[in-house]
Amino acid sequence: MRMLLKLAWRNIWRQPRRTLITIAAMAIGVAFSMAAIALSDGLFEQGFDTVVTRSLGHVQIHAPAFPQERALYDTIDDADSLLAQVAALPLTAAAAQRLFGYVLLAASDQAAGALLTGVAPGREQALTRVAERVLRGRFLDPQPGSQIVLGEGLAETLQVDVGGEVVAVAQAADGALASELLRVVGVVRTGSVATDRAGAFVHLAGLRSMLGLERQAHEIALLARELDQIPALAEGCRTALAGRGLLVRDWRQVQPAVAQLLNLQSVTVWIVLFTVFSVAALGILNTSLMSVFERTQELGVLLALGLGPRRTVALVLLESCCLAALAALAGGALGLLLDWYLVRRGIDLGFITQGWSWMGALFEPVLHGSLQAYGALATIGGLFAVTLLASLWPAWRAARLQPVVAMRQE
Amino acid sequence: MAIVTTENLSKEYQQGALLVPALREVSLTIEAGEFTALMGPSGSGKTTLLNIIGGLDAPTSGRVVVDGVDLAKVSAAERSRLRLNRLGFVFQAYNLIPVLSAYENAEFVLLLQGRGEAERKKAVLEMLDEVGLKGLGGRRPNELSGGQQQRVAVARAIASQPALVLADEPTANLDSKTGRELIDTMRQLNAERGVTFLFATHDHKVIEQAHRVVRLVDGQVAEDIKR
Repeated sequence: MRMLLKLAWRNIWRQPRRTLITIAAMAIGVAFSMAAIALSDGLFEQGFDTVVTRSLGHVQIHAPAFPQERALYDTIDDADSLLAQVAALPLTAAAAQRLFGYVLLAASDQAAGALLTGVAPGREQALTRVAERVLRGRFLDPQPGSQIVLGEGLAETLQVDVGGEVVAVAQAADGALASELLRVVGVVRTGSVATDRAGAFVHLAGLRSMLGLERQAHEIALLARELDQIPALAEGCRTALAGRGLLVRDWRQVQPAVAQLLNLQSVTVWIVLFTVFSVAALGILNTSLMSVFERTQELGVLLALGLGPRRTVALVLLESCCLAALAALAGGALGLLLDWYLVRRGIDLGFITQGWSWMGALFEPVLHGSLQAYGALATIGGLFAVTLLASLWPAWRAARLQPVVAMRQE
Repeated sequence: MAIVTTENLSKEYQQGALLVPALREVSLTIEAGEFTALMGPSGSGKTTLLNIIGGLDAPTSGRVVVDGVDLAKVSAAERSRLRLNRLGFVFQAYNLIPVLSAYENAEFVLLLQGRGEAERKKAVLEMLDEVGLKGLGGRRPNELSGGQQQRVAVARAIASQPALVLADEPTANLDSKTGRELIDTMRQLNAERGVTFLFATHDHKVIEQAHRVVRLVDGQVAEDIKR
């Protein structure tokens, strides 16, 4: 085998220009495939983070009618104790409850309808990292108080900023009109188009008091410790809350369209990879066939000397594998450079757009990649698989040569 | 002991609608240790006979037994193994592997046979020495003269100590002096190592050196002279 490898290695350098062109084409394919995977993974992570982790949570618990009706009365009763129960599950990384209330917010000269989300600041920050998205001011203090954090668009509509005051007016659960004066402590850009345009965060206890829903919540959201544990966490919640008549869904059930689009994105990448590798396969097939045709006489001599069909196949495959190995090295290095750039710098579309919206979430104009080992392994593994497949036919042709006929060829 | 036996060996080639006979009923026995020249004009069937004896081509009819193996009764893979382990080839156009050095070319068959490194080194260095290429083992074929390349081919054919070396016009591409030197080397190997040679040639100066001369005319044995 060592001798065949030596022979294969020297054979590929008989036509150095052709070899270098083939390697360059394969290497560029490898590098751009790795970059495409990294960018796709980055977009997936960005989309998942924005749409799922920062907004939905991995698992949600509601009263059965709430997702359809979003009515004030469709609440989870005794939410505090239920939250403590699911937060203690071993797969739970974070859990928080939310209470929603549609209110009229009024500043000095402006008023606007808004959706208030009542949260426990500490738990909410662990779940959605919303505090990291505060543009001005700060997020709600841990201790309950008459504070509000406005969505960026809502603050513009109300023409109010940090330090200002707004009055919230709402109809409470008992039908009475309730109002509260709230001090603006922060302005946030969550990435959710709806929240940023017409949403605001207040303390859970304050909203409960205002709406007359003292121990209730509309939603309990949870994060799993690992993404692959999400279905198990949802199942754990269902078991823990059995008999309570609550609806437990993972994010795929909450937003099936998001799940489908995220899946479609990875399919698209594999289609791109298939196309790139198909083109690479044609290049390898061409190089390998040319090499076999050009050396027909020499292959005839090798067969005459007793090389044997199996070793002849091995020789041609090894030649292609040498090309693939060089392309993997060069392409892998270039791919890692591209991946590094995508991870560290990203592709800045700031000259075209200030951001873009997808599934109700606002994305940054900079597209970042995500570096994962499988991207390089899948690409390089794919390269070798395609190389071997594309070389099988030339190898088979070489092995089937009749020595006496092959040796007569010029 | 007979190394090669052919019985009523015939070979016909199809050329368009015509069947052209290349060999007609050739019966021949080559004994171990012989230094035999096959002579005859171009088209007399010398190369065809060598190819059939070497298992590179199949006869239309008749029987060939090489080193006790009836070539018609074994598979292509077994014929390949026979060539590898029992036969050596020297071709008119040298046919060295251009990307390998003289040493590596001579070593090639031994590597295919799976011989150990020490054994290969000893055999190759000895052979290169015997064919007069001592110190030139590191050169690639394109760095050697025609005569030197053919000597490498002889070293490659003999390094594995085959039962029979088949040489097709080994001096045809060499000048007469170099050709004579090559034949002298082959004669020496035949005498000292007992290697059996069967070579095709139409060079009368070369034929003079042979122990036995088989003359082919129109695919038939016209003369078989033992000296």
